[in-house]
Amino acid sequence: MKFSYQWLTSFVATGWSLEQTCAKLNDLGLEVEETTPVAGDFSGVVVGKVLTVEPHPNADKLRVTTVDVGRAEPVQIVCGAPNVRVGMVAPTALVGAVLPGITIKDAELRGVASSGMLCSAGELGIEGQESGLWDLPAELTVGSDLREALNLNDASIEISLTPNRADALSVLGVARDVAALSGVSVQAPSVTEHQVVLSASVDVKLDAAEDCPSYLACRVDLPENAQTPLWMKERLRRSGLRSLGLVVDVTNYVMLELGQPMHAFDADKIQGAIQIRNAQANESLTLLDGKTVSLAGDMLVIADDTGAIALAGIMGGQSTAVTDATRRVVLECAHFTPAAVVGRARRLGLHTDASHRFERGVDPLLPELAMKRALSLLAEAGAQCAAVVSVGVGVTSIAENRLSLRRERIERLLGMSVADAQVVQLLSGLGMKVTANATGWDVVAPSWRFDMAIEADLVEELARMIGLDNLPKLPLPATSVMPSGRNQQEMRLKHLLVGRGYQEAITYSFVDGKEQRLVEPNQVGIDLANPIAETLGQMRVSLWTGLLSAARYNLNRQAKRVRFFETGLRFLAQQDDNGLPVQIPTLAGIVCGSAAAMQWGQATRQVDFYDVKGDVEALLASAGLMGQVSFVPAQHPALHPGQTASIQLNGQVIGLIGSLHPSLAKQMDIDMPAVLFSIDLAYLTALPAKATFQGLSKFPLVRRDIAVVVDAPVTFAQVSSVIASVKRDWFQSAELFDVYAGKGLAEGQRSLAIALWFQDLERTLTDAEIEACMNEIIEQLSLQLNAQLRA
Amino acid sequence: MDMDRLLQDALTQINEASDLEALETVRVHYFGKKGALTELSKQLGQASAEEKPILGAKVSGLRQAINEAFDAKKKVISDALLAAKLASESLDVSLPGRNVDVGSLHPVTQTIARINDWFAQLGFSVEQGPEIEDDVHNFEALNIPETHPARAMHDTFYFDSGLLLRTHTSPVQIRTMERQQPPLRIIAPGRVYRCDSDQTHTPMFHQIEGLVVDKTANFAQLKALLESFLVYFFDDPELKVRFRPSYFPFTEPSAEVDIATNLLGGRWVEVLGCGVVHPNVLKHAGIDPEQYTGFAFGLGVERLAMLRFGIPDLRMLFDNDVRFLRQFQA
Repeated sequence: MKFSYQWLTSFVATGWSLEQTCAKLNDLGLEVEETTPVAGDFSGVVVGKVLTVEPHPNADKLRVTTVDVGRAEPVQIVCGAPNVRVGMVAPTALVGAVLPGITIKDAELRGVASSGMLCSAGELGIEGQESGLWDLPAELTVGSDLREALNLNDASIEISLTPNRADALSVLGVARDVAALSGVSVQAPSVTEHQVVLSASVDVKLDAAEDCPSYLACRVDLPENAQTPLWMKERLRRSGLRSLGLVVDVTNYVMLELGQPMHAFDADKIQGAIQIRNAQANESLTLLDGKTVSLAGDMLVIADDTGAIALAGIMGGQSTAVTDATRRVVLECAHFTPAAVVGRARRLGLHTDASHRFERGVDPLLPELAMKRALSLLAEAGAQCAAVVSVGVGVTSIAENRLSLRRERIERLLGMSVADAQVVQLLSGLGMKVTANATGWDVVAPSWRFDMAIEADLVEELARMIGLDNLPKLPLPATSVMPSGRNQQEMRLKHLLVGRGYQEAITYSFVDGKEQRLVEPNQVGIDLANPIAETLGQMRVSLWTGLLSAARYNLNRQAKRVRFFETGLRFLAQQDDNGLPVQIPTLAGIVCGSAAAMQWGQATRQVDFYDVKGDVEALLASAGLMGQVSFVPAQHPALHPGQTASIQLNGQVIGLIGSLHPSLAKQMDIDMPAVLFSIDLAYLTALPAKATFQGLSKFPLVRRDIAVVVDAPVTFAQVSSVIASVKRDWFQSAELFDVYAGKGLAEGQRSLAIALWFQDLERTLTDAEIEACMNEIIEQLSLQLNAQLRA
Repeated sequence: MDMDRLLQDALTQINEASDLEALETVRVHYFGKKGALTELSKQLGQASAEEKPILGAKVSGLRQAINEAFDAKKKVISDALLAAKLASESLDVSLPGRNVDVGSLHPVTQTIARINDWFAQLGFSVEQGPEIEDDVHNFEALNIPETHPARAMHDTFYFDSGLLLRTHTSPVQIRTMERQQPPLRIIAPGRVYRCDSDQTHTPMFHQIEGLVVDKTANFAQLKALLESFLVYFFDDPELKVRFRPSYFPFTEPSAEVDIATNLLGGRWVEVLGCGVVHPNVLKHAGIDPEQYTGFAFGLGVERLAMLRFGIPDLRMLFDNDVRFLRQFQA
């Protein structure tokens, strides 16, 4: 909400400067978004009255004027504005005046002397007025300083209000809070009873008393040439509202001043009685803004014999709208309950000043006062008003909002006790009726505080009035609660990947469904009902779509290699026990381009499967899973059919690794080799079993090398499993140190060179027993895998 | 033979030997089978009994003197050889080392880790929750019923099933309280989603939710906790912290916290929201609000990361441009 600083101080004369006022508003929880001066920075401009207007001898578009500026002699000013006229009162910049961007000097315009400038509002840094000279009201004192005359040393304050503070959606509401804090009382505008000069009445039929406990209507006839007074236009302007004619201006003014939304109908366009009722089936309404909406049965409307003419508390209809030609109006001032308004506007895609207030709660006692205020403002502007018609169960039926506050609870929630007298004083200052009881107080909240619902609300009011910054600070007591280490394990894994040259990416959890179908054609992604864009329309089923797109982004920007990892959830269509889609924490990566950064000391080569497998194995080792994991040939549509493995933990698939399929690489526009991996994070972050010490042998370590030739389908995993099956307590490990294929071997054959290590904890091994073991290994390899020793 | 002459000759020859090979030739000349000293020793046998001890001592002295000269010369030559070898092996130490492949953690992760670490020391556990949530956990249980105006503050992503993407990390509060009885100290970092995208909003961002439920939890503890956290986070003992009353449906009283630091030119910047847990929220989770009180806070990770690292544009955090990410290596 935006309002003028002077308007506020006219209600509550705190003597605070603008800066002090803003600081206090912040302390009150009425957050100041910004303050802006209401006029440009200018000086030396006075109220002038145009005495004569003569044509310029040398220029068609210029006029020579004399202007009374309150001095003995009028000044001569050459003026180019078409709306200048004799008798006009306008801002006049005298010689020496400083305006935004210019300083006024004695000048000669096409041969005629000019000592000053008649100004438009825009030239004074005042937006929202008509162009041309600013046509000021005749009653201003000629010669007075314009800043003084129009109170331009003012600022607009824009505050951002939380949904609970509907009571502060008016200058009066803000003033009430300021008054409670400062102890200065509120000077509400004096409202006089208007004179009833019209006998016309309004026929009102209320069929929704629960949603609308009070409905006031009044016929008003407008004078010819009805004008909004300048002071009201200025207050509206400083509150961010444009002047739209007397009636609308008055309803807006009253809303800003008191917080009561009002509406004006063109009386001549209403057919029959005004009815307040729920919308009927298939009813529709064309609103003020020209939009036609179809109404639902839970929407409250104002109707006449032709059907709905306004959406109650939200927006008026076009058919009965007030126009420049309107001479007779029906003024509406009603209380609609939050329950009758809330949610309706949003459902229709609407948000108005009225709906904003009604759905949060408007003081139910306000309509009568607001109607009086509006009628007296209209009467001052020359309108003729009839008697007010009032229907509804009225204000007496509105239940008092009773709460209780326990003394003990204040200290419990705030960490400090508040003296009884201070509690009473602070709450009373906010308009609450406070009576003591055994444990604390009974409190009746004022009718404008819709947000007072529970005891804690009262405690918050005390905290607000004391000032949050004045509340004590207490240390958190020591705790015996031990945090879990799972999170640290995840960070360890991330650091490991960083140490291996990976950068962590964070991609959106929603991806382009079309692209995801290329990467994961066998999975069903969940579509968002209201995505921000089609390219962010589907929840990811794996992290690869996002990572591929992040890699492409960089390759398109001349990156030569990309090493990304990411952690996060992937989302499957299946449901879990809570009725939610299965959401699996995942660690995934993509590596593309050269295996190592450009270097002088080693040959450049492109990344391959085994580079990335090494990274994955390092992760598994760090998670304590190395011995339990196997890599088993697998298939995935995104991956090369011959370069893909599932990562299995004791037979259970926990991840996948493989080279990007060349066809997908082409479709995804990735023109260098890439390897992808993905592992379910939970297996990696389960706390690894603690290490157990193994004895160190003092006896010699023996190495024997063998080179075995195997046929194409035989894997290294098979070979090493046969070696391990030849059981010796003193067998330590088998390390592969060379793989050869080519000259000397048949097509498809490979020679695997393996170092075998033997060592006993208790004794020196004999050549004979090692020979026997070697022979057994060779025999088993031959028997089981048809592997031959390489000649 | 004149022994003095012999010594002089030997020392001269040793001195003149320029490498280990020449030195060895000299050694053979004196100590070899037919060497001069070997000959002398042989002659010693023929000397008279009176002469023998005197002569013996002389020969022994001579042998020792030549030996010492040999060793000294040998060391000089070896040292020179080693020095020459080392000189030939010197490197350009300014050439880059091999495999300097260090990546980087995302600044958002670094920020979350910095926050997690601090709270972990105070006994806070890190909790996680689902990101596709139901209406109950994201709204209802947090005291935000269907028609609540606060819903308009959350531009929610929905699915056809009626489920939604969590708009804040607060549902983790609820899930933790459903699972665990107080006392509770948790923080819940994670991704959250709002249907909003412009220069200062991305449809996905990160929050950290904190929750303490205990028999004595109160606003004063919340104040002290957050203030010392912010001083730690911004590493600025001069940091100014301001609490402003605010509104969240799930806390009462509620506050927003602003900071001002010279780093940010002294202007106030909003960094987090907090409050005392609303009794309805405790009740919904099966915790008796008469027995227990709680406080909660939520902070925007990107906002803190941007302030800490001086990142001007939120969207850069999700471009995953390697030139950007590389800057956060340290």
